Amino acid sequence: MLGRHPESELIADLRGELPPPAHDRLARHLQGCARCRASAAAYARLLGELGRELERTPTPDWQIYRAQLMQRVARVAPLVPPRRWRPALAWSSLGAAALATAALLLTINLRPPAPPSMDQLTLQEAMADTDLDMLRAYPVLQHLDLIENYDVISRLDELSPAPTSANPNRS
Amino acid sequence: MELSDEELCRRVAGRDTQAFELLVERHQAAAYRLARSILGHDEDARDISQEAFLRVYQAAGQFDARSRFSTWFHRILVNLCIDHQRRGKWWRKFVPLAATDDAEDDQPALDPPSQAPGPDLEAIRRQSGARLRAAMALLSPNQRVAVTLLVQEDLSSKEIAAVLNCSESTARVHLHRAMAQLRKTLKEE
Repeated sequence: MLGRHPESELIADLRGELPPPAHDRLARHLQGCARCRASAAAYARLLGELGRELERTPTPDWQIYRAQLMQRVARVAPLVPPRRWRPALAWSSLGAAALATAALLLTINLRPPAPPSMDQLTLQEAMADTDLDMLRAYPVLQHLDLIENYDVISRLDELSPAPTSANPNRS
Repeated sequence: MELSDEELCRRVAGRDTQAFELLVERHQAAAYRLARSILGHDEDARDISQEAFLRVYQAAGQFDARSRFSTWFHRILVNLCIDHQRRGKWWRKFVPLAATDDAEDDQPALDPPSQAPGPDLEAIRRQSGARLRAAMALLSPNQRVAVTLLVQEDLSSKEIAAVLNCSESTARVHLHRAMAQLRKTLKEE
């Protein structure tokens, strides 16, 4: 016996939709429940009546109906193109995309460098002047560098000891 | 060999007009009756069911062949009907559904309550079609759709659930509540 009235399963059972265990369970319930038995019987009769009533629904002239429909179809354009996989089309699209990319890269690489503008020329001249000055003073610069190295070596004992690790056990 | 609905739909996606006409011929009566039972008006039923076929023509390429064509089509039709009802003319709410029917429904939509007591069978047999349709009009749209798909299209709870985009148990609850409501309404009359 079920703890509740399985009323939502009555119609499914009338139509034979319930699997055998659920059907058996419901049948046992119906044996002991007059309320659900009455509901099941009423639903069966009501469904039959509804079926007969719906069959009596007047219908239009189907030729006129289809003619009207086809007129409406003729007035509209297909909104959604068919979604179909076309391998040939896909490969040709892919090939076209690859060709376009290659052509773009070639165009970039083969293009002659654009002549520098006046501002760029001025900047390049200034940088060349600086480089030239540095080249002229190269022996001095080299000497300074050596002096700096000697200075560091001579003051090694003054350097503070390297910081010790927080964990003395850590190797 | 007869082509399946799904194959016809695939051809419609390729703009095959003959396939479309065949598909319409197969489903026009069911589509019209379903729309008629949901909307309660002949003109609206014709217009909305045609609109559903139009949507099929436009969107046939979107049909997923893993499901049945009829389920897909019913879903389109039911959604259109429910949308149409939401946008419906407000004054129709004051006109009983059965009163807008054809000449055979000259009698009042809601008869006075029957004085003769008796079992459900006798009571139901006395109901005219108009009274039954009036009782149907009191159901919620989902309940009406569920009952109509069950009775008219012979769909299972699972298929009804697919059309209503809900779980199977919810579809069964819609059916049960619809039947309980119909039974109550018809008993009270």
